[in-house]
Amino acid sequence: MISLSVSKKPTVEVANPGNSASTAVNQAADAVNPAPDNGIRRRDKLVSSQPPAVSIQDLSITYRTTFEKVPTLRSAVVRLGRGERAVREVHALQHLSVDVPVGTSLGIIGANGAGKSTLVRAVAGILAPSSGRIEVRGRISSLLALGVGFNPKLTGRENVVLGGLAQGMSRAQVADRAQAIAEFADIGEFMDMPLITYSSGMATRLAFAVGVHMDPDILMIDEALSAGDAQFKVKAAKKMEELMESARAMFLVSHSLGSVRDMCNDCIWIHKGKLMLHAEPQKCIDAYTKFLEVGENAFTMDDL
Amino acid sequence: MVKTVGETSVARDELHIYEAGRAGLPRIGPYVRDLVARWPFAAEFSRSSIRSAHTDTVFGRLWLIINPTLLAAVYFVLIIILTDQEFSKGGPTLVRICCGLFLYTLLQSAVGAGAGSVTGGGALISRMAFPRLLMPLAAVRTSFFRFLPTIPVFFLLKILLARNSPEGAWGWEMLSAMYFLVLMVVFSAGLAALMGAVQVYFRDASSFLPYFLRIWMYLSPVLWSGAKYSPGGSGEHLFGLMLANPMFSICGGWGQALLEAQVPLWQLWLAGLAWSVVVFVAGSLVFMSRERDFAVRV
Repeated sequence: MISLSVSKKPTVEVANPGNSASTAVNQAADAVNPAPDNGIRRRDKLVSSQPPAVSIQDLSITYRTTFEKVPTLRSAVVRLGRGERAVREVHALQHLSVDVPVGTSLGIIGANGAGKSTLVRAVAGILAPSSGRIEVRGRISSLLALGVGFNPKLTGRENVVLGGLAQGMSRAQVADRAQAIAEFADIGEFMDMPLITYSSGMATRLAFAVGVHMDPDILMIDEALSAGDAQFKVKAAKKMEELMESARAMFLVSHSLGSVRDMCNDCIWIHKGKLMLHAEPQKCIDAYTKFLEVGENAFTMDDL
Repeated sequence: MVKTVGETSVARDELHIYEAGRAGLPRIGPYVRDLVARWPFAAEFSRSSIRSAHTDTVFGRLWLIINPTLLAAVYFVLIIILTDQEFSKGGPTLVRICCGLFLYTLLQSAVGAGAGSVTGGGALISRMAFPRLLMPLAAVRTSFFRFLPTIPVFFLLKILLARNSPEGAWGWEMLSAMYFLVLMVVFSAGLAALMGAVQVYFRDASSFLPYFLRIWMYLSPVLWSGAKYSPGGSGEHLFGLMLANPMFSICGGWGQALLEAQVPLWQLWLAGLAWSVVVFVAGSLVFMSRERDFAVRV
């Protein structure tokens, strides 16, 4: 039991998240084994008996997409005539298990197409798992949301209202926050101009402002800061630190390894849908960087 | 603003569990609760689409009236010529056409917009989690608010053109039309949800839709009176068959109430209700059972 609970896959401690007895065993295990060197980082905030904010258990996501870019009835009939099936499976995530305790800010790194965004969208409840299970405790605010805006013909302010309502807030709550969002985004008169007139940086600022003002329990940021200018990045980093005091967990998907190192206290590295490493940010970044330098052939996945 | 972790855990202990299963129905109870809770979003979404289409301006609103009225005029000319009537005596015919056509336009626009609501949802579908059924319902709401301005037009035409004719009757019986309007909205919502889901898998479905809807209109008492096929009419032996068409009950009842100021036959009330409920439930269930797949497919 003890060896299991600190083994590579944290599924055992995940299985009974509400069970304080098992958590106690885990703590005992950690006490026995104070410096596990198998990739699982000791998380000091897990000491309380709280269940993890997000628990991802053996998650696999397989997309079934069609060959055609645009599926039509006509092509379906033609296919039927030829006796073909036009489904192609994409294994976006495979048997991924991650436990995100309260107080964690989790960096997610990996090459393009690794499944980072898929993971974040699954936790946000947008994509359904193909197998496995995700437990989320708390309200999620994802910065996936407003990146490109809902209706580019509407003004920024109207898009903010739409975004807030879609997140499940009441009209009054949204109205309360609209001014704070406008001030934080600091895009001046553009707030009342159609979204179509925004530069990508302005859209980013607005999206970020919306995300952080939704009182999130769990904040998800997917490449959201890439287009902001240096001044806004500083402001955003400060706001995120502030949020970490009230939020339970944060997910940061980024190709900027520097911001992952600065802002996160835990990190996972995904490659081709598989969890390569779950460790502290510096360890992950080092391994990932080495992997990028050496290349896939010299780096057998089984070693990790 | 600063809260301790302990406080948040007490205040907001929502637990969401996402489990495997691409298709299959979500649990209906929580789904409906979520749907009701987020209705303000659908309302705002519909309102903003009305705004971005400029239908809240004077000319925008005017167009909502002119468009179906012009369409009614086209059918009027067609019918007058085909049936060899005199234009000067065609007033009641025009009133009948407007009555049916305005209501049928509600169905057409709701189903048309509902069909495109998921595939046109773009960032909303791929980046946010919410009950997707809100998308076709918002489309139906938009169509309903576009339909409303045509009601006064109908009454104006009825006052002006249908005096001393069966179509010019007035009475409290006309209130029963509201029942058939509700049926139409419910029916449209079901069909909009169904077509919204179908459109995700077959993107060309919306190209067939207008033709299908137009043929359906000719088969329903939109431009003609259903009295002929009702008990006592010359085609009464076809009444049972006619009830198999949902639009026979809904459009027929609507017309009978508003034009002749008669309480529609009880068979129409019943058949219309049955059709609306069946189509709404079936359409919503098909939609809900597929909606987890939409984020990937859109």
